[in-house]
Amino acid sequence: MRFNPLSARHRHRAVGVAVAIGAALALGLSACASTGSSNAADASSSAAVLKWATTYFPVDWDPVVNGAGAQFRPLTLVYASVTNINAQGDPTPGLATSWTYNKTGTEVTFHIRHGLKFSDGTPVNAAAIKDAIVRAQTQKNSALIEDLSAIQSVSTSGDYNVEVYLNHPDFQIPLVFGQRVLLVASPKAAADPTKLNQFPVGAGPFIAIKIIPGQEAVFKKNPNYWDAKDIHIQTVELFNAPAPATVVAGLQTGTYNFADLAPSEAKAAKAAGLDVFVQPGYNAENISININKAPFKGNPALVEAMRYAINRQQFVDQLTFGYGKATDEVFPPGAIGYNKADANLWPYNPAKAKQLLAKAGYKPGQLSLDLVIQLDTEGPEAEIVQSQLAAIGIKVTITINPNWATPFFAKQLAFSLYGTTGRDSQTETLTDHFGPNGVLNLSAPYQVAGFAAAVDKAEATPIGSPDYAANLQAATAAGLQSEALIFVYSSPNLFAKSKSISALPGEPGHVDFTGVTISGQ
Amino acid sequence: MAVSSAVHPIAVEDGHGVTAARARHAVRGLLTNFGRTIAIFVPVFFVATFATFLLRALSGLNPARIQLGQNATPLEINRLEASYGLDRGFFAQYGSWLAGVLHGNLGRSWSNGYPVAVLIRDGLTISLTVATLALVLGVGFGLALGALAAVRRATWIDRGITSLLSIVSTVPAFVIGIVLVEVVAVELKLLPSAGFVPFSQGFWPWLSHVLLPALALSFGCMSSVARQLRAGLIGAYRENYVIGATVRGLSRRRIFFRHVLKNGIGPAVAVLGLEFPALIGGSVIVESIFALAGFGQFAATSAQMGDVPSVQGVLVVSIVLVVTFNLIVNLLLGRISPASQRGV
Amino acid sequence: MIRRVLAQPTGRLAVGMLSVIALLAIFGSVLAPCSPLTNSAHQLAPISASHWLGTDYLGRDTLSRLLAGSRASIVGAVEVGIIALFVGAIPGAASVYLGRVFEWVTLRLVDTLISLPFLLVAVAVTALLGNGITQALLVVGVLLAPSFYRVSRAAALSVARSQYVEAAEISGASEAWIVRRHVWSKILPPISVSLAQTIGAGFVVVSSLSFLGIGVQPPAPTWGGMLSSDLSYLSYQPWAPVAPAVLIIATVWACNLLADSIRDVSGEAGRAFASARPKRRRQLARPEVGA
Repeated sequence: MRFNPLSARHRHRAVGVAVAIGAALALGLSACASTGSSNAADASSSAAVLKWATTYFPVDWDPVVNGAGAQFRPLTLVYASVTNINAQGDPTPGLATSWTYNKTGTEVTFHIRHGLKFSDGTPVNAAAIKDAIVRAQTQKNSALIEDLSAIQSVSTSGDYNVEVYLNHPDFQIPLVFGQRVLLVASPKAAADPTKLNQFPVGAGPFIAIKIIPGQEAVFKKNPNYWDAKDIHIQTVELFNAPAPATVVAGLQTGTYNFADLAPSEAKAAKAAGLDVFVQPGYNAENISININKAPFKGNPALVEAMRYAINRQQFVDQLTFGYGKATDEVFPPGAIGYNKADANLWPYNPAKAKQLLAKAGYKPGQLSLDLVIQLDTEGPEAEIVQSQLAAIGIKVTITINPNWATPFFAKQLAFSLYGTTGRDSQTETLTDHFGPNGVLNLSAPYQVAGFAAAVDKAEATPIGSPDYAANLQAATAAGLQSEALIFVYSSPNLFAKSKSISALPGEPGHVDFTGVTISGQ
Repeated sequence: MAVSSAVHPIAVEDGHGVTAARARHAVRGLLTNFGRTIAIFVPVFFVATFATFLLRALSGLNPARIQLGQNATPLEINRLEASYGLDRGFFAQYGSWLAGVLHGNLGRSWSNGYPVAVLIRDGLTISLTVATLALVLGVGFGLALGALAAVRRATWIDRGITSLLSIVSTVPAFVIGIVLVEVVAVELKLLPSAGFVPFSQGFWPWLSHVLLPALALSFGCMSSVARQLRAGLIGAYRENYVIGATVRGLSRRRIFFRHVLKNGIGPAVAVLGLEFPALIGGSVIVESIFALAGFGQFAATSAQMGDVPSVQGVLVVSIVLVVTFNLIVNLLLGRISPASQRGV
Repeated sequence: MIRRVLAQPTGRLAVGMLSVIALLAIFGSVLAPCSPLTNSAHQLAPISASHWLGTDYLGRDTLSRLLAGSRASIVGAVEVGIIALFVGAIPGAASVYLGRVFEWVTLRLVDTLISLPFLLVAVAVTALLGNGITQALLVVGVLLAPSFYRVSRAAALSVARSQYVEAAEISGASEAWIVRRHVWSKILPPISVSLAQTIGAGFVVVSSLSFLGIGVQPPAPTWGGMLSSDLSYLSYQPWAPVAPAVLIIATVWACNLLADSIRDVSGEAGRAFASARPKRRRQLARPEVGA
């Protein structure tokens, strides 16, 4: 008989104790994870909660650092802007109730609402607005310097008037002071920009309660928002969206009720009984070229060859699942800035592209290009570019680097893809893409001849005037000649929402929850 | 197999003394076991942390790659690196990093400046919850299946279980995860397919969200435990004392629970020490499929961004987890089958 | 030994499956009906006569992509096995002959490798070292080396102390002859078992990495990468993930079957090696009972 000094009873107890410890540990740990979000739990149990999974979860919460690109949308939850836009794209009041231009368009005064406060108690007044403008122009890591380059100086007159002096006639300022460029942070919080970048303080429809970097943010309704009466949502939980393929499942099972949606998932979303909201806007995808770097430097024939190699229809057919259309301009067809006369300047012609490649001095297969993309969801688009260029004899190697943004905005890449969601101000879109300091101009400081004059003229035309559309389209035509950009297709942003969420207002490019109700909560 | 050959002292008159002696013996055994285990794992900890630290030098990455761009003059790069202490010699950096680690300070992330310990903390609770539940499921089903296969050895039950396990153990976790999402969550609509709900918001919401990921993770552990238990039990059943016990008329249940199980369970418990790293490692896949913001996801994202301190922090934490778990397993093993501690 | 393996039914099954898969790897691109890289307008097409498994999101023939991807996946797994073999077996055998310090250091290194959470480390280190396929294979190979270390060390230990080697040495046989005649036939079975298992495990890891997008080079297809992108289009092709998944599972299962049948065939000697532990105090509990 074999024995053990410890009896079987003791041994089983030891195992039992270990298992119990393990289970208690697991429960205790998950309870720990909950203490931080207990506020959210309390809030959500009693009122309308928006659970939004976004692909643009902010890395930077300071609007000056965040920039005017698509990632501005979650920031509009916590910050308010000086102006907003309506469904037609015209400027409407925000923190400012009205504005007046002088005759020549070189001065505009904004009249700020009375009696508003930021969520930390600082008053919203002309000084706060001026502070925001000056900070965007001067802060070292500001991404907005170029967008405000028309502003020479700002002064305040009284508590509620902001006088903006421009260095040339520019009627776009009310649009520029919208949600993409002038989200206003509390000046008291902005005194420490690093801290503001980690935790936002604004005067928007919601107040930030908790931020877990890269994962989740929780907001509750701001009763002092200037339009609080039209906000019917009490709590917003913002999540960093998971892989697109899992978003619909997350919506179906109630983890989210609002989510950014990839076009390939639209069919699944509809089949799952969700609403698919097609956001109106000015999206345009392009191939960006840096003509200051090899192999493009001094070789315009190479750029021409690539222009003719692109078959826009394949992108539309295989990437947009019926939601997109081809465009060879910086605006989609139908937008006010789209120049019909200049459409299809470079039709798809692979034979001509091969000739031009030879003229550029390259034999088929001789030239290799590196294409860096940020996410593997951009893979299909990159693969189409790769195969179309391979068809004319240019070899493209694709690498995925989540850190793509840094070399792109530092203009260190020779060749890249980019997709814009547009701007509130159409001339801002043009200068961002074609201007000598344009954020999206990979070839900066290159500026195509004739563009500066054309865009100045468009800016100097009042928005409502009969010449406006024509001058804007002329500026588009001028920019189109830039060797730095090949526009390919336009695909709108899609959102999937639970049927309990009412329709969103359709402002181009914006996600606005004014008037939105969540039923059944 | 790990069994003791010590014989019970027969002295019954002096009951008190014997109990005390037995208790002293047990405590001494425990302490020796503990000490021995620590002596083994301390070098592992240091080697692993050194290798982790070596990663930065091997990778050639620096914070300037992530943070600067437009303003990347050499002066600014040097200043940024100095602020992270990266301008000192290799061993100076290693020393201060290690000292920090031992105090719980895992450095600052290069991409957003947050302390790495804070970034890991919330993700860790999610990953540990899923891993622990996977362990419980794997061990529970594994023990049950292994025992069943051993008790009914060579019957069709045994063959069926063994073949099933051999197939299941080869299916990668991501395939199982996808199948579970498609079948259970989307088609049958039984359980949610994504996200994490903390326990404080209710038992069923919490369980329904962690069950599928834990299940996907548990299959590997389940099949290992089952196989080891089956083999151990079959070996134990072959021992002479079992025949003796049967001849003496002990019931099959008593033979199983009092003798065979305690003698055969050793390898199954021991294999847990090897399975736990696999559970933590598998969290990367499972968190990707089930949209859990755990520390596997965090490690993958930080690594792809080139954020070395975050990756180092994750590796250190996972090493500590594995070492702690192995400590517990070795302690358990010491009590269950002390002979295994003698290196037999 | 090969003959004995083939005599077993499981052995025949395993060798058969692996031969088919190896043929796919070598001749895959030739057998493919279309080029795996040709886009066509027929995106996400269903099964048809011209496309036996339909097409993918860019109109490429799925069957051709699977065949072309087989080479990358399988060659990757075999490379992992070979790297693990060399990184593990050489120090393992050497640890018996090169003194206490070397032995202690390598034992601790092996303990560390076993303690590391496998996939997490593979993902992290590969991504940090440049996200390429070579880095991935190297890292995974190193992580899988411990089993070869143990096996070769156990074999070397038992050979070093066996009497017939002493006898051979006394009667003047050269070391090379001893190695060839005695050591090799003893080591081969357990090393083969480990190699088969490691290739299977390496295959799973490489597929998992390509599933996560690490170490892939678009547009070259890989089975794991195809499985991952199939997820994005499930609503259009719900059955699409089945093909790569079945191939992955079949390959891994065949490797494990082969390992099991070699182990069964090599009998007591092989089992003893596979389960022998270093004659020191136990480090991590590592049972390896033939099941």
